[in-house]
Amino acid sequence: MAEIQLPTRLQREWALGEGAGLEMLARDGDLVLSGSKVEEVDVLAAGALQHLRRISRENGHKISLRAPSQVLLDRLAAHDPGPDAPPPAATAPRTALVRLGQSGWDAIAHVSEAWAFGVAMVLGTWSLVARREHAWPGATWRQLYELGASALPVVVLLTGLIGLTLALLMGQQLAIYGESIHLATFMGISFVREVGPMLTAVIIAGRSGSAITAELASMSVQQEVDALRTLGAREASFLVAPRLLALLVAMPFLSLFASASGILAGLAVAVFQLELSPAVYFQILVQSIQLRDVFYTVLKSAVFAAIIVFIACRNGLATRGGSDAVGRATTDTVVAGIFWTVVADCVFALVLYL
Amino acid sequence: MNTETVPGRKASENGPVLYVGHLRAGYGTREILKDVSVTVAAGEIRAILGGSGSGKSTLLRNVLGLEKPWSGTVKVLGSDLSEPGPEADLALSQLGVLFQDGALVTSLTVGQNTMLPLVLDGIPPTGAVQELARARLSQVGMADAWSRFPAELSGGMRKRASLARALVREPRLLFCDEPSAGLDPLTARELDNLLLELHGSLGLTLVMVSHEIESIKLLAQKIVYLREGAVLFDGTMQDALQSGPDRVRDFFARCVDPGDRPEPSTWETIP
Repeated sequence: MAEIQLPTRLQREWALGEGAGLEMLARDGDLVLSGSKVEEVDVLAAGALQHLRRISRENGHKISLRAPSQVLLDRLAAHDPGPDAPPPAATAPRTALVRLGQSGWDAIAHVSEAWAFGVAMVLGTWSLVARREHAWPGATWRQLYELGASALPVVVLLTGLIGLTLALLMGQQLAIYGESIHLATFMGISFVREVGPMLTAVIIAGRSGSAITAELASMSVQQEVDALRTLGAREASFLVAPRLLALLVAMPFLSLFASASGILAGLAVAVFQLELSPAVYFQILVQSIQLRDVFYTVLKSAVFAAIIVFIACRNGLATRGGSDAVGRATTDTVVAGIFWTVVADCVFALVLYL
Repeated sequence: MNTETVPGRKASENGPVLYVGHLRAGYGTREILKDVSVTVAAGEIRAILGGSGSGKSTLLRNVLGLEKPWSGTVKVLGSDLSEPGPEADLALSQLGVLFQDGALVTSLTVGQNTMLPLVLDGIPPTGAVQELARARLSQVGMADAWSRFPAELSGGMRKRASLARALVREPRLLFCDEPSAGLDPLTARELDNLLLELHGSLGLTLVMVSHEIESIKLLAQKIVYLREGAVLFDGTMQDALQSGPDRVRDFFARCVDPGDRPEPSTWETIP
């Protein structure tokens, strides 16, 4: 058992120096602190003493004060951390099998919840279209503008720039083989079938998907969604349906504009770098694109729109907590939105073109 | 009140407006309400109070059908709001809720927010609906804020606008979640008086969750005191002050729930 004489002034220096050094003694055995001379205890020193007591008890030792001054007792009482928390109940270590079962169960719960949300989304949209449920008049038009029309410039600009880049690279390669003319084939097939819809999906997932989640998440956090429910609104038709309808309409158009923008960028390269005539470019272009491809693009874009709205609304409406949760939900939406549209695109490619 | 305003209004006017029987509820695996039973009759002003963490808000969320109870019965105007369907819709159309921070829809103006309950019933926000909304807004002193957005309003104004929205369908039952929380004393009293006035003029039943002693003293006829997820006291204000449990009387005398202050840890001393 060690006995320590406490100094007259217990202050910051003592707490960080000597006091902290006592931890070792408290861990190793019983400790007696002799405090008859103590006249001053600052807040940090009081904390250090309480910490010593905790360490000592956690290691099954005793710590006591010998003839403490009234100041010391008062200061300890003023900074009393309360009784020790009961030791955590011993839980049996979870076996690999239990953990596997748990994660399997979680996955099932997750999928069934997603399924339920999807069903609610479809039914809610149907109710809105059939006028059995009501959103704010013009809500769909507003979303059509915010999610679709206002995204047009950035979609067209980005796909145009990428089209220009790809056309420059491809044009040089084709020129080596004397096949410059097939730049039109390349641009047509790649932009109509793939780059247009895919790039649009990525841009919309990032731009409109995050906007949807951020708005719905802050509505959830601020009890607006709860308030809507008590007013008799179903969030599937009041909040989700206008966004779904708007993006279902807007995405195919955006994709077609994106494809056109890329193809026109290709035309610029064909005319100014490869010295082809526009008429020839368009002639080859029309030969390479089938109407079927355009139809698939529209279909694909609509599916991407549904995926993005589904993920964005689900993340937004499931948000609980504070402003940090809003940020996390938004990030999740962008990542999941891009991931699942790419997966869907891959499935389309396998089904349609294999 | 006038029963012809809402077609198909149910004749359950004699039963209790709110019945909660042996409710158990919580979040995840954490039990918040252990066994709560409350009955509120028509025309009452009932306050649900208790310290923080006593389960007041959880009770309100379960009553409003925003959470599914673990077990027990909840009937609001005769129906269980957590079971969606025509019955719940009918009950919802006859109640109003004043949420803590107003919970106005931020993308709609004050006027649009006030018209929202009727728009959700499929009535276009023109003509009669506008007049009704204007009437409610001037009743709460917010007529000038018609075309302003919630973000442009102060906390007290948001609450009053939210009250107008809650009242636009002439509800039989009004729930208020901490009506005076976050308001300065003057605005809080104004809101209390407004609620009292509405209770008198519309004959509505008022259920308020609160820990504001002044509001409760001014408004409540009967109180339910929750503690650790159970009802500690249920009775009239007078009984609470005279013969209620110590903790309840303490609450009214000192404006605090003393809670359970843990026993201080004692240091062993040796001479």
